[in-house]
Amino acid sequence: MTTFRIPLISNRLSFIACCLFSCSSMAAVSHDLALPAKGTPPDANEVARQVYFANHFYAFKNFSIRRRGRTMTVLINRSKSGKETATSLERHLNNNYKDDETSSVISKDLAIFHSGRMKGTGMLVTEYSDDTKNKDYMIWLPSLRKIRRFSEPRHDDAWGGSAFTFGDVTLRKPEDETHEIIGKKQFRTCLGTINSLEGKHFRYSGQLPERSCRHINKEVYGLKSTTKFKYWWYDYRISYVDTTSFADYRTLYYKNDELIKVIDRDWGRVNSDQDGDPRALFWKYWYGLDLRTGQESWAVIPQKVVEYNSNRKNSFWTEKTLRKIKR
Amino acid sequence: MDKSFIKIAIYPMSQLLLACCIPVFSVEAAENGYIEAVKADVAEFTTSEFQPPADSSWIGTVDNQSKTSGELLVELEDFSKFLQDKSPGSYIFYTKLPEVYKKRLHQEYLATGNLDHIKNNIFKYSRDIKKK
Repeated sequence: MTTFRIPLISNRLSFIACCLFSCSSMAAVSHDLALPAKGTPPDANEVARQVYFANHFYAFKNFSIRRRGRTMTVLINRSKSGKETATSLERHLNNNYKDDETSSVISKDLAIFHSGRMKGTGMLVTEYSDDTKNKDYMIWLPSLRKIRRFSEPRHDDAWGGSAFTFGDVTLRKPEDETHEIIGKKQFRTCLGTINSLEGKHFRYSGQLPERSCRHINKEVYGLKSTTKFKYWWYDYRISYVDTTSFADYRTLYYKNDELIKVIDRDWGRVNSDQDGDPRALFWKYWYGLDLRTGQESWAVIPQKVVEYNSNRKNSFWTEKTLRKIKR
Repeated sequence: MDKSFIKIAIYPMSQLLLACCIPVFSVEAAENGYIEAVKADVAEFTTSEFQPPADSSWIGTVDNQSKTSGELLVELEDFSKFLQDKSPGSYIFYTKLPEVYKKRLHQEYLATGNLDHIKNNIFKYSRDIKKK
């Protein structure tokens, strides 16, 4: 029985693995990556690296989307037929391994699921500074009350059965693509949402947000990234990248010059003052639409569950925490 | 009657029945003009001109008819209306603030999108002004 259950669960873990923010790091983009010098427009590769920095929360020592009472982050998937599924979770990312020179770890990522089939499951992802070394995926399986390890998922694996892939969420690195800036302009449209759920009360997250139009008129780069992988599911993608914060508000995926998928991300700055690092951002929601299948996905992160640079000790990101998860 | 004839006759009928019973589903986002707006936006990179689709609720125009339409808060006036709608209590204090503070709150909202934070700052600025 066990041999069958583990692969099954590992598939479902498409979501766990790196959930709502990417796991972290790669050798090419360091935690200390500086902002481009003022007055010098960054080149396409630099923009791609800055986007990676923002998406992997390198501006923070640690970053959590935690549980607060009944409020949690929720991922809503809606199939073409209109069937909806929802999964709630919390997630804790730790980038605070710089001072430990004896360790080759650069980040750890802990995810705990609180609803659905994954309820009670936990996962700890460890990333190492050695680029050739794969990430460690440790899963706490509540039915077995044991920890199991599994290998890194493929880039094109669906993330929790959603419209997002592991590549979209965490695994894709700047060197996996060639980059080109196709222009600079103002962002013109509101970000997408599952229209029928906008502003409605939903379990786990409370009231769902309305579509975000805050980013309209912000100046963005158009970054065209062409994949280096052969026979890949997309040929190139175009991202709208904020010229100041390097937040990527929208990514459009093309195959044979035809739009096949859209991902929108609503970003917020943790500090409203203009002095801090503009890349210190957090996600408010992700929306994805796959035009090939008609599937929509919406990951909503209520503001009150976001916590960053907390005093949590590194010992929190260990197997011990996984074993403490209650079913 | 020949059985093969029955099969031939019944098969298309069953297909027809199925087609009638199963509703035709379509992507909601594609129907509501989202994709058209997205395509118009990206076309601007090549044409250098933005040609918005007609009557789109995705290009930030405030549509009073529909509560789900996006609110464009680029102007301070729009932000004030938004605040009045979302938090009438805080709005009373907001109206008494000098213009400089209102502008600051507006910028803060555009950056963070955090209304709770804005409400706290309204009271903070009100207190600061009283102290002065």
